[in-house]
Order: sequence, then structure tokens, then C-alpha cells
Amino acid sequence: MKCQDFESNVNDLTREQMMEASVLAEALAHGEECEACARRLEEQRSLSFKLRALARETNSAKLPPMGNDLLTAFRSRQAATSRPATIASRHSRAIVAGAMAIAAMVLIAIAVTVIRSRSVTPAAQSLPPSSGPKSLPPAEIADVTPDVSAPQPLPLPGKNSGREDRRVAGKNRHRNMNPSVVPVQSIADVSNKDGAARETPTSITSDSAAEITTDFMPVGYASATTLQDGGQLVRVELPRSALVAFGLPMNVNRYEEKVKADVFFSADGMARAIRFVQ
Amino acid sequence: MLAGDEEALAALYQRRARDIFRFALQMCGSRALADDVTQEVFMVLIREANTFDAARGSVNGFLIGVARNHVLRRLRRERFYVSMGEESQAETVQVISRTTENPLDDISRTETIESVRKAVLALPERYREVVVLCDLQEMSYLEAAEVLGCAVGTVRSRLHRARALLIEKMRPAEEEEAVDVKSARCFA
Repeated sequence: MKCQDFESNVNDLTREQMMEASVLAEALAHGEECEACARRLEEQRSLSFKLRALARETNSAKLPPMGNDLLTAFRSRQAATSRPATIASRHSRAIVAGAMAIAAMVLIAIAVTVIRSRSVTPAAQSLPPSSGPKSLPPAEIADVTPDVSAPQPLPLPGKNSGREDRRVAGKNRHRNMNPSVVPVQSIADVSNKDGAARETPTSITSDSAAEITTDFMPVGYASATTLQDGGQLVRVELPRSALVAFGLPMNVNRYEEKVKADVFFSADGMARAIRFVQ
Repeated sequence: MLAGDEEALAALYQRRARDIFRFALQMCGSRALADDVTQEVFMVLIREANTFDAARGSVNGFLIGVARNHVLRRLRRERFYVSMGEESQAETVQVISRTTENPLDDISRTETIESVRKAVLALPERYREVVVLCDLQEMSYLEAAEVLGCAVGTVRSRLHRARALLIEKMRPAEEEEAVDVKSARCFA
């Protein structure tokens, strides 16, 4: 046996562990031959002796008695385990209540989602596939768009105005026209209260919702008294240079093109306001 | 005990508490802490007796394993505190007072035991626990491996290293004593 093998077995040798007889004999023989290994064996035996003395000393230490806390905990534990059915029923009740609450929350969330989707979908469906202004064939534009020199007056609000509106609207539907090219609009409400030209683009009709218009700009002098008797709104086409006259920007490259505009004529036939339409 | 028999609990305590207490005392060196750990181990046994699996090891191994976890937790928690040293002195006095016929031999023996105890307590925890289990509790390698949750070879190698460390720790004191004796002879 070599010193390295002796080193690996010296613990088992001193602790008197079970060893193969041949290994034990070889280790003892090596211990007698090798002085260093003999000294190491002696150190290990001395250490084992001291450790046994320490173990005996610890064994003589007084064991603490079983505390009352242990007995109390043991009894309470037994009392708790003797009522498993009650605890189980409480647990199951709590679980069922929790599951029902979760299911209710899920149903509410689904209902809210469905309601929201339904409220959004009709509005989206009401818009045409291409909601922007369409360019109509020249023939239709010619039919619809009045000339500036010969404005087509709208009927004043009265008995026939509603009928006339319905007629125009029916005609437009019959022609499958885009709402953006409805030629004229009734503005019966324009001069109802303060008479000022404060009409917003969305306040005319729902058919012109797709049109983009500017605000009405006064032409000359306009007061509440002049607008008190109502008026007519006429859709016209103007050269683009007219934009400059009202302080609006103009694309120079398109100066030859026309631009649509709604001109408001008061009862005395004077143009009182104008707005540009895109 | 699982059926609620208090006598069974008392019998189990009488049979197993000594090993747990010894293990905790040898691991931490504090009697108060060993008392606490012993009580805590049985509290765990009462609360979580169902976690014991006989197929995985003996009851003693299970209890010592629980005690080991508690001791290591307490040692890590109290690492930041400094001992006042009163308790060890009181225990030493108590041990010496128990001596009977030959006081000098008893003092020498007590000093030796104290030096071994200090050397064991100075070991790193993973070496200390194998020394406590294998040498002080006289467990086999297999039982110690069950408690520590490691392989038998690991226990053997750790014990080998731990004993070498113990010898190293106790050697300087002996050499210093020898040096003192030589110097005394020179003065004489």
C-alpha cells in the first residue's frame, strides 16, 4: 500500500469502520513501515479520542423537558384535524363563491365588449367605402353645379321647402350621387336667432358630412337686420384666385382650376357670406 | 402520534429529543439555542407530520434534518451578534464542579474537551456538521448522507477534510505550549 492509499483509508481505520480484511491488513502493515503514516495514524487516533470525550461530555448534558407549548400545539392541531368536514365545506364554499365571482366578471366583460362593438360598427358601416369626395363625370357636374352667372336659388323655408328638399334628395339618391356634391342646401336655420353666419360644416345636413368647408366669411357689410328675413344658399364654382381675395392660400400650379363655394344671398338679393367647399 | 395520542408524542420526545438536542448543542455551542431548536423541531413534527416519508429515510434522520435546517438558519441569523462569553464560562465552571476525586486530571480533561469544542465550532458549517454527525453522533456514512441530502462519497471527503482541519487547528496550541516549555528551560 502506498502513502496515498493509506491517507484515504486512515479515517476508516481510526473510526473502526467496516473494511475489507486485506485492506485493513495492508494499512496496518504500511503504518508500521512508514513513519509519516504512523504519525498521521496516531494523530487521527488522538483526535478520535478527544472527539469521543467531547461526545461523552455532551451526552451528559441535561435534556430540556417537553414544554407546554408543544402539548398545546399538539392539542390544537388535533382539534383542528377533528373538524375536517367543516373546514372542507368552508373551503369548498369559498372556492365556489370565488369561481362564481370570476365567471360574473368575465360575462360582464364580454357583454361590455359586444355592446361597444355594436355601437361602433353601424357608424363605420354607414360610411361609404370611399368616404372622401368623389369626382363625378363632367356631365353630372354640369347638371348639378350651377353657374355663377345664373345661380339656382334654393327655396326659402316655408311650405314647399321640405317638399323641395325631399325632391332633391330623392333625385340625388336616384342618381347614386355622392353627398359631397349635393349642389344646394337649405339654410333655413342660418338666420334664425342671431342671424350671424356661424354655421358649421356639420350643421347643414348629414348628406354633406363628407364635405370639408371653411367657415362663412362675410362679403361686404352684413348685419343681423339684413339677415333677419332669411336668404338662399347657392353652390357656385369660382376661379381659385378668389381664394386669395379672402386671405386663403392658393396653389399657384392649379390657378386655372375652379373651386366650389357656397354663397349666401340675403332676401334683398345681395351676397352676404361665402364659404369654400372641398 | 398521528392519531392524537399524547403519550405517543411524549414517548417520541423522550426517545428522539436527546439526539436532536445534542446535535444542536454540538453545532452551535449554545444550550439556549439548542433548547429552542429542539422545541422547534417537534413543533414542525406536530404541524407537518404528514410530510414525513418512511421510504426516504428514518424518523431520526428526518428529525435531525429538520434540526439541521433550523440550526443553520439560526446561525446565519445570529452571525451578526457577538457573544458575551458568560454562558461558556458558566458551563465550564459547572463541568469542573462536577469532578469527583482527581481535580487536576479533571481540569486537564476539561481543557482538552474545551479546546476540541472550540476547534469544532470554528469549522465551516459543512465540515462541522459531518464531524458532529459521524464522529460525535457516531452515525454511519449512509445515515449522515441521508441527513445531509448528499452522496456517501461527499460525506467521506468532507469528513476527511474536516478532521485534517481539526488537527491543524489543534496543532498550533500544542506547539506553542512546547515552545513555552523550551523557553522556560532556557530561563532556568
